[in-house]
Formats: sequence, structure tokens, C-alpha cells
Amino acid sequence: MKRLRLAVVAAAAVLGAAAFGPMPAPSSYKVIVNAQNPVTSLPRAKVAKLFLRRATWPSGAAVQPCDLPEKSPVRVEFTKVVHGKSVIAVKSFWQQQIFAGRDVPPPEKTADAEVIAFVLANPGAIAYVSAPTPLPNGVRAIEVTD
Amino acid sequence: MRSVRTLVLATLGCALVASSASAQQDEKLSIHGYLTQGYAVSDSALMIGIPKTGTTDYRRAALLLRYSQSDRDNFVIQMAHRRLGESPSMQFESDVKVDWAFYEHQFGTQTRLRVGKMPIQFGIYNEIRYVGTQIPFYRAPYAFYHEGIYTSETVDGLTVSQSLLGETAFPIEANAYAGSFSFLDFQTVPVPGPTGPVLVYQGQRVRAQSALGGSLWISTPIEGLRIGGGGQRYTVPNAFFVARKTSFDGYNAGLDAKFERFYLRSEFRHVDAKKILQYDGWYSQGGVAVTSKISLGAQAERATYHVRTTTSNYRVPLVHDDAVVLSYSVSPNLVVKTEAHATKGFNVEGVTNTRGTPLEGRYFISSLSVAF
Repeated sequence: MKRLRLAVVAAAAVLGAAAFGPMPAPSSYKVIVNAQNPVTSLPRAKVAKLFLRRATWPSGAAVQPCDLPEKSPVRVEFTKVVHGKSVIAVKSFWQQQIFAGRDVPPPEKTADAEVIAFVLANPGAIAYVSAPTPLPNGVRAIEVTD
Repeated sequence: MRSVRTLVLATLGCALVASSASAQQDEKLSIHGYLTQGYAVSDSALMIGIPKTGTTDYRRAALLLRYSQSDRDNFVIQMAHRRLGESPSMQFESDVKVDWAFYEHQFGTQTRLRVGKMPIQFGIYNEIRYVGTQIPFYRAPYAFYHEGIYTSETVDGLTVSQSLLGETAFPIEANAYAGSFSFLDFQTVPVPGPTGPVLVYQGQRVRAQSALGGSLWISTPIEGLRIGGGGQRYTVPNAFFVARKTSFDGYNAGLDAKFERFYLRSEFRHVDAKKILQYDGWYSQGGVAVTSKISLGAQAERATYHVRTTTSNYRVPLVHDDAVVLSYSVSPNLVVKTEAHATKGFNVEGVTNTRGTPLEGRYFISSLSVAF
């Protein structure tokens, strides 16, 4: 009887999931800027352009993006969601920029604390850190909209 | 012996770079580089330096230094080394050369001006034509870009780049250049011999002056798809194929589709030297990533030139090359390729009778490319 009840609950869960679709997983990252930056929210496409240095802040100020290491799970998810590409594809874009003599990629910081320090030191900075990371005064998260 | 020593050094360099695979970069100075080392063998006449006996003296390497004086001011220098096997064009090439040396100033975020010796923004590949990790085959398609002879990657002068409509669905990248450049001119020419004229395959460096050109690339709402084209004009004071000062006019068009799993590219160019000589070249290439590391590609390229003088009027099939490539990408910074080409034409480096039967052959290139 107990097994039957378990089977019914499991079946209901499967059917429920099928009917309503998977729950969206919470982001493992948050996008952060220097607190002097008045921006509070940006469309995803604009964030992608800022990280590729193909756009400026609304004020016209130059953007200073910063990345986590290539193999960081936070970077992998950020790149997939924001750029819609793999980290390899974005690295390939930067390699093209480098060897065309146009630009160099953003600095890669090894840990969230270093990323936060970079954002604190640069008013034009934009970066991402893992979602649970506490932010100090001088750095704040912005909303990324679709 | 020299080539073996160079090969050993190049291979050690590859291993070293691949193992570290990280660029030097601080706030102002960044140092990047690449190396493509190839082994090439042909079963027929000498083409693009590839002999029947095979050669490992086939590589391209560069070291690129970028110094950012400010957010808007940059100095870029690229030192380069190239070997093209047994190509006669190598007699004109030093072991190490200053490839690029330019100053760049950005006006706002949409405009950049460069002054010095810099790459021409020509076609899809010109600026990155030697970066093995960025191109699907060993070289950018010959029918469009050439290599060794009748080509210049750079211009001495100035270039202006302008981004337009950046916030729209159809952003535009426009470029223009002005200045001069040099290229190698190789032809089968008669020279005096003991018993009369004899034909030799001879080369000279030619300076193209009053060069003007530009290009326009339009991106589309389909991410990775863009179309573009451009035009060029320059004057050559003397060359084997045009004995007097002659102006060259050209135009080109292309389609560039690059997606996560596959790419498709095609470009066409036409060059006209005062109706005396007309050149038409095109290529199409496509490829698919079979896995995240392995990809397959295929390419067809064709080029002909048409000679029209008071005494001659004939068409020469220069390039007819069909190729396939298998690539293994260890990482974005380390790629191994093997490619096979079937050719039929007069793109050979030696005395040829271009009025005769086109020469058929095959050649193979295996290469290792690293970048950091």
C-alpha cells in the first residue's frame, strides 16, 4: 500500500512537471556595477554588448568589463545565458579581436573577491559574481531583463 | 639541416606556448602571439612553396604587442616570421619582419583612426589570415587573398573605421584606407641567354601607390550572419605584366555565416587593370562541428585572369582548388588540422606556358596552430 502511494505521488509529480514545465533554476550569478553608476537595470542584449565592449554606458562613458576564469561554472552559465554562446565561442571572438589588432579581452580575475575589488576601483566596471556573494558598499547588483 | 633545426625550435615553441597558453597582459601592455607549423607535400609541380619531397619549412608566427596609452590611444607592433617551403618568393622575405606598426586613436566609441603600417580590413579574413586557430584551413582562400605573391596584408598610410547603427537590427561596420603598399610580382619572362632569349620564372618587389579602398559589412538580425563588400584602387608604376604605369580597380563582395555548430562563407573579387588584365576569383567554404573538438570542412575556389592586349586575348585558369579539412581543436588556443587539395590550373611557381594545358595535382598540409 505504501509503495502504491509512493508510485501515485511520483506519477503526479511527473505529470505535474510535464503540465507546468520545469521551474526556472535561479541564476548562479549576479551582474554587478560600481555604486557610482546610476544604471539599475539593463536588457540582456545590452549586457552582452557591454561585455564585448561593443557598447558604452548610457552616459557615453567607456565600459570596463571583467571576467572570471574560463572554467568557472559561474562564467559558463553567465556566458550561456547572457551571450547565448559557449565560453569557447566568446574566447574565439576575443582571439579574433586581438589578432586583428583591434582590442584585448577583459581581465580575468581568479575569484569573486578580486572581481569585486576591480568593480570598486573602476567606476565604468561591469562584472558578475556568484549569486550568494555578499557585496560591500560601493558595489551593487543590477537587474538583467529579457 | 637548417629546416630540421627550425622545425625542432618551432615544435618546442608550440609545446611551450600550448602549455602556458596565456598572454601577458597588464593595464597598459598586452603581448599576444601565434604560431602555425605545417608539413606540406605535393604530388606535382611546385605550388605555394610545396615540393614533391615534402617540407616542414612551412610556418607562420607573430608576436603582437599592444600598448594602451589611454582608453583612446593605442600603439600596436607585430613582428612576424614566415616560411613558405621552397617558394621562390622567400628570397624576398627576411626571417623576421615588422608586420604592423601603427598608432590608433579612438574618437568616441564608434570611430577609430590608425596611422602607420596596419592591416587592411579586406574581406572576411585579411586581418587574421595567418592566425591558424582562427581560420578553417592552413591559409585563407588563395583565389581571394593569395599568399606570397600579388598580395599585401597591410597598407602604409591611414585607415578609418566607423561603426554605424549599432543599436539597430542591422549594425554596419565601415572602413576606408589610403596609402601605399608593396607586393611581389612573379612571372615567366624572357631573359637574354647565350643562344637567344630563355624563359625564367622571375620576381621583383613592386610598389603600389595612391591606394584607396574601403569596405562595408552589414550584420543582420540573425546572430552570426553578415554580408559585405568593398572596393579598391591603386597604381602600379611598373610590373612584369604591365610594363607602364597602370591603375588597378577592384571590387569584392562576401557572405559570412558563422554559427555555433557550422559556418558558411563565400567571397568574390574582381580586379581590372585598364582592360589589359582582368582577374576574377571566388571561393565558397563550409564546415560543421561534429563534436565540440572535431570539425570537418570543405572548400572550392576558382580564379582566372583574362589578358587583352593588341596582340593577345586569352583567358588563363589560375586556381581551381577543391579541398577538405579535418580539424581537432584541443582548445581555442590549440588546433591541429589535416587538409587535402585537388588542383588544376597554372598556379605553379616555375616556368609555365599558360596557353597550354592546365596542370593537375594534389597537395596535403598537416598543421599545428597555437595562439596565446
